[in-house]
Amino acid sequence: MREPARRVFAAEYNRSEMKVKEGESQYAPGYVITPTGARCNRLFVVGVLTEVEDIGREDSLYRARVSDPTGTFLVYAGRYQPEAAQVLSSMEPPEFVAVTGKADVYQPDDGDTIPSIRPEAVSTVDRGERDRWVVTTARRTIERLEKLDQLPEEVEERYHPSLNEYRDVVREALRNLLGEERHEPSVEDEPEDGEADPETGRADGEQGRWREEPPVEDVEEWDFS
Amino acid sequence: MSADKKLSKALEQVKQSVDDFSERELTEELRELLEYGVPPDQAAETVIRRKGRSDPAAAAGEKKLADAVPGERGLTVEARVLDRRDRTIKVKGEPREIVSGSLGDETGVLSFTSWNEFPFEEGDAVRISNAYTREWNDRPELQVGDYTEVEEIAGEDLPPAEELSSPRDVSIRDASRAYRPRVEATVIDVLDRSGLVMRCPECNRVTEGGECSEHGPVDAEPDLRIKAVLDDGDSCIQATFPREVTESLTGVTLEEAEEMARKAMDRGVVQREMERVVGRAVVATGRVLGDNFVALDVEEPESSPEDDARELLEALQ
Ligand SMILES: [Zn+2]
Repeated sequence: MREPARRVFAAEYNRSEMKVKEGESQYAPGYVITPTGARCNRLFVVGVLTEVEDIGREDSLYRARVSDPTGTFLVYAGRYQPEAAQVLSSMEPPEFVAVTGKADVYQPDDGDTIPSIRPEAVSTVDRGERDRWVVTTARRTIERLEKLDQLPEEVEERYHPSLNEYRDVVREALRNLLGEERHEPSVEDEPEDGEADPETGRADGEQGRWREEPPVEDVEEWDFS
Repeated sequence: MSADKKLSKALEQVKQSVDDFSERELTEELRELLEYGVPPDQAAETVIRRKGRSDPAAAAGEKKLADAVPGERGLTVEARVLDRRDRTIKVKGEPREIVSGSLGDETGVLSFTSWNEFPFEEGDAVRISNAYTREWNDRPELQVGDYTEVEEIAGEDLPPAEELSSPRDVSIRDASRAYRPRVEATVIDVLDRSGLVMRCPECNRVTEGGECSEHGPVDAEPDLRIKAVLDDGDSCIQATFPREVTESLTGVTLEEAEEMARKAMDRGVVQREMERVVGRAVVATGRVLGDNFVALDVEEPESSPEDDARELLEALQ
């Protein structure tokens, strides 16, 4: 069974610091668990592409920033995401983009966690599709908030998510869509990637867990007949 | 005692010791015995004994289609035939005629296979007794076997066929339960082998290098399609958009796609053009075949995101 693509606002996703694997095998799917309990093997995000940079050394490694009304997603496309890398490198920010990709958490040495997305598909979209994504993501988030008291214990203990805090995230996103409130990104909204990437984020870097690995969990049974 | 009184007396007695069976089924069996002059209490005992012998846990009895599960025995349903196809399959090397199709009632839809004659047409209401179910693509499939009885009924309680086969709004998770599911979802990926494909004129299979896996070298005909993933954040399904749907979704006709490929001398440009639908929200009406959603019609969602946003905000206050 293919994993569905979860809908999570950047403000929530960027606070994720749990990654679990289902089963022992190297093909077992991994999930980033967000504070309200979304189990993300795959994510679908729509937002404004604000920046694309090639931060690779020998091979290209593109880092793109995709901004939603609540924060910024970090998208990394390297040699195992050639199509997405090509599309991203040809884009001229700012543009509305849709990104489908694998959820990942990158851990540099300092113990920090930086949630990111390894893209499988990237495409330009219009404002209408961005708005629809905000509505769907608001709905999915509200659904998770309704079940917040049923969070698995380890998720509850890790995050202690506050209902009001995440309701505010949803409100902020919806008001932004309606033009009722301009979002001023605060420093906390931006994931702190900064200088860490050249140190640890490289395909040849030995430190840190962010490494360019073959996307083995992408091996899924599809009938193309 | 009148015949009716005898019947209701016997039925009361049976119902005290037997559940999991439809009243209709019990009544039929009792009536038959009473018609042969068996006294009511003996008729009741006979039926109780009969039902007790068959494993009550395994005998499904009468159910609505939505309640059927794989691996049932003794299943009785009343439903309308929504479609039927005659097929010839090979069983141990011997050709065998079978009938497969879909049944519908007000609760849902169920595929069926009949291993015997099935002299009913689309729209007919039938009562199928003592059928069994198998699992097929994670869904139950009703089997009409040697011990299954099928009879035509008036079907006054069943919605008309047009209603049963009209589009039904469902989530992707429930798409395979509807005969004509209509789902609201987003195209989150366009898979390889989308765009221009060549098809065998005999069997419609996609050819590779001008060869059909069944018919060998053929004069293949061009077609345009998209293989996509539809996803609503909760579930996803692989979908096929046939030519008309692909043309309306992308604004690229088959002729234009051929022209693009000719100019670039590469069919890949059409694939990349198709990939631009990633991110599009759609309302897709179609049919689930196996694990594939075949889209027959794709539209833009009607609701405005602004209205939806206002509604959600209000609910949050
Ligand atoms: Zn052929």
